[in-house]
Amino acid sequence: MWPYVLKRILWFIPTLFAVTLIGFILLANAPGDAVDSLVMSSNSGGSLKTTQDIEQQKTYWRKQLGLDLPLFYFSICKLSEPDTLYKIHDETQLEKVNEQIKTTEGYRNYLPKIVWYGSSNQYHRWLFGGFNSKGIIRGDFGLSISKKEPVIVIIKDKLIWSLFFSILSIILAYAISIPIGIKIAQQPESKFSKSSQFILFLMYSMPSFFVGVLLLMLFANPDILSIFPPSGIKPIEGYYDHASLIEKFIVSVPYMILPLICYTYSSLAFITKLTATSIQEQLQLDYIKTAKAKGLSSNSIIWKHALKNSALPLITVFSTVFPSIVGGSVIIESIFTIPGMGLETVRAIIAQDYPVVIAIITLSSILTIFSYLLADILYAWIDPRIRITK
Amino acid sequence: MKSLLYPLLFILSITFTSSCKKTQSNTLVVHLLSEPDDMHPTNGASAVRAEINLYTNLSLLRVNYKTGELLPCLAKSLPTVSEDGLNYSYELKDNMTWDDNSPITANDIAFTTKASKCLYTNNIGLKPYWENIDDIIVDSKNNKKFTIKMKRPYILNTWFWTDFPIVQAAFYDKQNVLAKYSNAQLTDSTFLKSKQDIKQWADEFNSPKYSTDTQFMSGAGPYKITKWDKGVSITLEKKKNHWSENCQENWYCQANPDKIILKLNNNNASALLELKNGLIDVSTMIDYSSFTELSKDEAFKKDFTLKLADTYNYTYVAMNMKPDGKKHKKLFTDVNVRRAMALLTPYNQINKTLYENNNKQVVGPISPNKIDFNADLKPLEYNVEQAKELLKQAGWADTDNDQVLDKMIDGEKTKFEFNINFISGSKVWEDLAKQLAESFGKANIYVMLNPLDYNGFFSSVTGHSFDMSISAWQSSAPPEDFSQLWSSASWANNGLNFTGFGTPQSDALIDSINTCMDEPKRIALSKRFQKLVYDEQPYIFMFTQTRRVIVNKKWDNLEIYTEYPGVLLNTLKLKD
Repeated sequence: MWPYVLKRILWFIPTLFAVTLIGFILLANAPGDAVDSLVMSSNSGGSLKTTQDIEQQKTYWRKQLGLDLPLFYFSICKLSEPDTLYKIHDETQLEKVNEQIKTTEGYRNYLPKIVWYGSSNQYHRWLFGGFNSKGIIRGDFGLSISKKEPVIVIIKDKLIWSLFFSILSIILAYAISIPIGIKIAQQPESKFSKSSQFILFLMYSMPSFFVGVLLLMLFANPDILSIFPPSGIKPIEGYYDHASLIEKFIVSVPYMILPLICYTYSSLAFITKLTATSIQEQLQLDYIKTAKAKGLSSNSIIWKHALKNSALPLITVFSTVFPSIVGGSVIIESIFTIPGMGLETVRAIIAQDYPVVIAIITLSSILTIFSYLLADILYAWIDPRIRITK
Repeated sequence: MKSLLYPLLFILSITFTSSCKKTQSNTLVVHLLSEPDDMHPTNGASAVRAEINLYTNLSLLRVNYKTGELLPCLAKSLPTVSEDGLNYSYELKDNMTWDDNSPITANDIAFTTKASKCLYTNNIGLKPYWENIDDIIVDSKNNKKFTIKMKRPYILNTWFWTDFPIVQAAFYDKQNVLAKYSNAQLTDSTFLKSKQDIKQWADEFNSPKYSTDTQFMSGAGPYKITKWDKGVSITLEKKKNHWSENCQENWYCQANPDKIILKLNNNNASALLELKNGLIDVSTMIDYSSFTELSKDEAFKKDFTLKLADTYNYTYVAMNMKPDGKKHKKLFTDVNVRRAMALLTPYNQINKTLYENNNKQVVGPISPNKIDFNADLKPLEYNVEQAKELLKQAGWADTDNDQVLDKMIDGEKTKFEFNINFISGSKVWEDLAKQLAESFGKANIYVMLNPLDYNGFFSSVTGHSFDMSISAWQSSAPPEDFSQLWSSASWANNGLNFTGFGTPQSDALIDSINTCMDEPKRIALSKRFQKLVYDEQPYIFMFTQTRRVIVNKKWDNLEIYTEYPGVLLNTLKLKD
């Protein structure tokens, strides 16, 4: 098994490289320009801005941020295109130049060429460092363009809350839904089965923004019931000085309940249904009949034999849910004012803060690859018939 | 089951009610919609940062919120201006000091200017605002006196200072590096290349600690940022033994609440519940429908004051007057068509359905709340028949009976159909676009809605790649400089003049306004310019936006202003 794991870890490198590169190129080609946003971001009144002032500033800061460099080590373009076309950032000007090339260069417009830029490119700088970053290779995601803070600092704070809610909700979802799923599978025609399936179906159909607001209106509303705080993750004035981690947790418990319900309920429905179906399938198989014939108790059959063999789909679900913890949930974070990754991702995309976005993409990719690897190992552990030597 | 449920709810309520505890003591909790990107003294640009700076920093001059006029702050009085309008002489007050009790001197003003102008500092969006300052000459005999030399006369040469906090040279430049160089040198990229000391200073000055670490935030205002819990709240605490302690004479030196907590909440539903729970004392940011809901809640009104306040901001629908003719057809090049679009806009219906009838219609490029507003310009009324007549005069007719107007433009039959762009995610703007589309349809104009993300929207308008777009402008008390939004140059360089409005005459008029130091004369010129824009109708001018002010009645001394942020938090007093 270990050579296989090592081989998979080695595959991480080219996969990560490809994912980050695709993310990098997509972001670089998104509408708008980070430097334009910076220049236009002032909220003050009038000024004596002139074209020259603005262009001078844009050029200077484009250079400072490394945005004046070509995107990648090489580019594939038309033979007619000049090698320095990447230096034009103004879309109107670029359109004019392209139009001119199109009309004057004839057959050269139909022949491709590869232009080599060497290591002086944006992707290389992001990977290996330069200007204000040591590079992702050395664990430095660089500085956020809009917040001017190290990306890792921005992400660290937000990631803690997203990880907390996501991991807790995954644990809760599995802990609650597996026993319910088993009960449904054991007595599919019982009242409990029918009513719980109806409720689960209802829960699965309800969007999280609706459930979030509904929970708030029911349990944080002085007109109905004001049990939970309506927003935030801790008291307005924060934790008291020198509070321990456990004390902080206890103080924050009331703030966590409604968001946690919101995070958990839809996966709860899904995993319960999956468990029930999977166990029901197992219960029809011959080995279960043999176990019954041997006189094993119902609980022993279910928990020791059927559950283990029906766990494969549950592991598959886990491997797809797990990477999403880095992305957080924009809707739930917005409703309950949780300073998590979801809102930060949206902010970074809107601000074209590409160091932050790429960092999030990279972290999500690492987790995705890691969770698939984990799933493979778990498959083999649960079902020895699955071999992972290749 | 039921027997278990009620005791459980009871226990939960007992346990958790403690978490909904309102803050005691002299602490003001304020609703914040978004937090600032950074709190750097010179490099940040967000509106929230500007609001916080009102309490943590001081400027040379401030706005008198009551009158909308200039108010000396660090300066003893308004400056003496030379006849050519280029030299502004100031003297600083004596009693104001930094946190280390050192006096605020002209060197701090000179340092603030140099730090802002220096090419290495990271205030890219703000540098052009400092461009007009040529130099600052400190009086060699009195370091409280100085003269600011400007490059050009300009109406905002004094107002400019209200926007920027003065920072302490000794705190941000301990080696006194910038004092060795002139403003001209600091803006000369060739000169800077050989100056490593400036580069080192700038790298330190630009470093994130000055943007986000409260230990490295220093200002002369009566409050200090003591905690910034990212994504949650920002806490300002009143400084102890500060010079402003007994100062009540002007708003900027008052510090009535001991603590001001700016609490982030960008969700209307939970913000509304926080208000109802008494967890927020002040909000100016809740949406119209929530405000209306709270206005009808008698129990809520017992504890809270609810008022609608005017602002200088306005919404508009821009029309592309100079499209390329290929990707975007020449639909709005004729003034009659633009006027027709304005006449097809159901202002009253929109105001009622989207803004609960709270907004005022605007007629030109300036809020009716400003002193230079041209009151002779009459609002256009919704009139479909008149609009149809204007469209007919412009040559538009439904020649093929397909219920869409058409016209031969540049030898090509063109249908009157186009996209309305707006930033996605705003329900109000989406509804506004829908109502416009429906109304334009009455004159056989076919409209498609085109929601875009912020960057897509911004690049479409600045790149002139749009037909019609919905947006809003934020404005403030200072005299209006029309160049950014209306000069031809601002269209040519892909600035904020999206529509293509502008002629040599209008540009000359803008220049005259910008350099006219005689207030009545400037107002007359401004009115002329407004008439010019009104006649051309590059925008469908929609509404001024109102601020929804909600303040807990336990706070006294409430005054509401047109100028942002509408309520000065430091002036609110806790009732006995």
